[in-house]
Amino acid sequence: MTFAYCAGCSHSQLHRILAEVLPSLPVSTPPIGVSGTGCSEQMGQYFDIPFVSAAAGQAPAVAAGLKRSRPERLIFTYQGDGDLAARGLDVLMSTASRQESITVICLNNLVMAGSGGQMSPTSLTGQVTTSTRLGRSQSRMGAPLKLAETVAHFPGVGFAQRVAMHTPEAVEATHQALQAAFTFQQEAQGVSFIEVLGWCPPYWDCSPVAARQRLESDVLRQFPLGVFRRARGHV
Amino acid sequence: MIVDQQAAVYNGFQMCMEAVLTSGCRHYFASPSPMHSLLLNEGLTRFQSRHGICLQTQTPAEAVSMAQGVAQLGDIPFISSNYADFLSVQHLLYHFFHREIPCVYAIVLYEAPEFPGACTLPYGFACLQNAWPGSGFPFPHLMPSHLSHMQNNVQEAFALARHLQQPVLLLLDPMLLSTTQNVQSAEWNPLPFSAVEGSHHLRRAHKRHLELKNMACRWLRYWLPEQTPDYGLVAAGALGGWLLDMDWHENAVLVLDSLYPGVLQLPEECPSDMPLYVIEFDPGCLYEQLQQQYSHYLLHPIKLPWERSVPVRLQNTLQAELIAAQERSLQARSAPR
Repeated sequence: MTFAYCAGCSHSQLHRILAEVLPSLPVSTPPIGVSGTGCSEQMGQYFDIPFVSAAAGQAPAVAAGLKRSRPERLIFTYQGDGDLAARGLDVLMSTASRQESITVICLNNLVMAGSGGQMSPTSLTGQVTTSTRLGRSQSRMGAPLKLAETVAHFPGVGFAQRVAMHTPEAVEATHQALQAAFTFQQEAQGVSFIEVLGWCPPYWDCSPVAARQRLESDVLRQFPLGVFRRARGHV
Repeated sequence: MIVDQQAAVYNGFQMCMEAVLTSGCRHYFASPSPMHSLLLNEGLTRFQSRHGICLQTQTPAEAVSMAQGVAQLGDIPFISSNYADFLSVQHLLYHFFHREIPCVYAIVLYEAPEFPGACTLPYGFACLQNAWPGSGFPFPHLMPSHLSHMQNNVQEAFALARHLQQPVLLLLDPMLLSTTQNVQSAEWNPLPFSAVEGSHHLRRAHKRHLELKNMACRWLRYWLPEQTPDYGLVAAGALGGWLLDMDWHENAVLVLDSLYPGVLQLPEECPSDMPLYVIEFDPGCLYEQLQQQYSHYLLHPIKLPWERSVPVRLQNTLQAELIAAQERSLQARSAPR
């Protein structure tokens, strides 16, 4: 399959992982996806499942509406860090506080790639983007937002984990995390949140191979992998 | 039907929710805001007892997005807010137009009657008389002026949304919502729709506009005296309902149920050069809106100051204002140019 994404984009890799995970879920009807704006908006065209595209930041609310209407279906959102953290963190918080059982998948590539590589709330300190030419200044732009840790503190979140895809082991861990997230949703345990660390070679200004190396050397130091919430029975 | 061949007393909020539920709606999302919250409170009670889903969201934007989720699965959701909140979520409604998703959106037009300037149409409504910006789709909206009529308007709104596959607005006058009236079980004639065909969305939009324009005459209610009327009174919302309820023998009363283009077509019994007095509470802009749309009619404004006791002595106040307005127009005619 040919993707419309840039060469080496981590979206296509996460699509492949999802394409393996979704058919393996023990459900009779296919899950329904909700995509956010930006690069993630294109996901729907590669999957033969019902897909809805939402306005910027509103994907969790649209997913919650779908879930309220059809509680038996698995519902997930697929968003980038710009869409989820910049535009729609309040929407996610409201959705979580109502303990809506949906799965939120966020590909965090540290830039707003869809709009031209600007700084996103998760951009690293010192990271050069098209809107921070001299690197992100913590004194002027604030510190990077640690998404999984933040979301884990929202009431109504049953599961929050950060994973990556830069090594075979990390890919396997992402598989398991996604399956666990959907299991939490089936058990109606509130929001299950997966932050997948990705990369964006064009706006990181490096090759795909160098991007993976940079993720291991720089990004993982600030955004450690791990499970930040795994609590059953709180709903 | 809501009531079985007999009248029942309803409050405006109750009537609205009852009509929404009998229209088959089972999903209602709204975020609290002044005055409009009474509608939400009523919905929370009534939807629960009818096994519907009514949810208080944190923001109006969230309400619209949750409704989008519901509508994508085939149901027609109900959303409500006040006018200020509606303005803040218009960009989200664009998605409904663009993807042809139906919903019914009720806008409570202004604050409670206790607030100063409780007029029905305080803001410019140019957007309601045009297609939805950027989409080309027409923008149907209904504005009941009596509780019996609200019942019909709500059913009509859901039927329109289902047929057109796009949002339909209900403009709710807060004075009407807080009124208690006898509601007669009215006959509602299903809308005469033809199938919407065509693949190009602008062509479809144009066809819908023509269809709505043809049925615009449904959205003008009027009362005519036995003799040819000398002049007509034009109003909307609760004020229009009060005028229709008056036993007024000299003039015609024309009540708008929408501002959709083509609504104000004078009945055949009325002379085309009949002066029309547009009555509204100050600082409304219904007169200005109508003047833009219907420049071929002789329209004159009458703006009543709002007081709590206005509905009680409305006829006397109006007669005094009419005499003053007629004198003003006579003076304007006789004044040297």
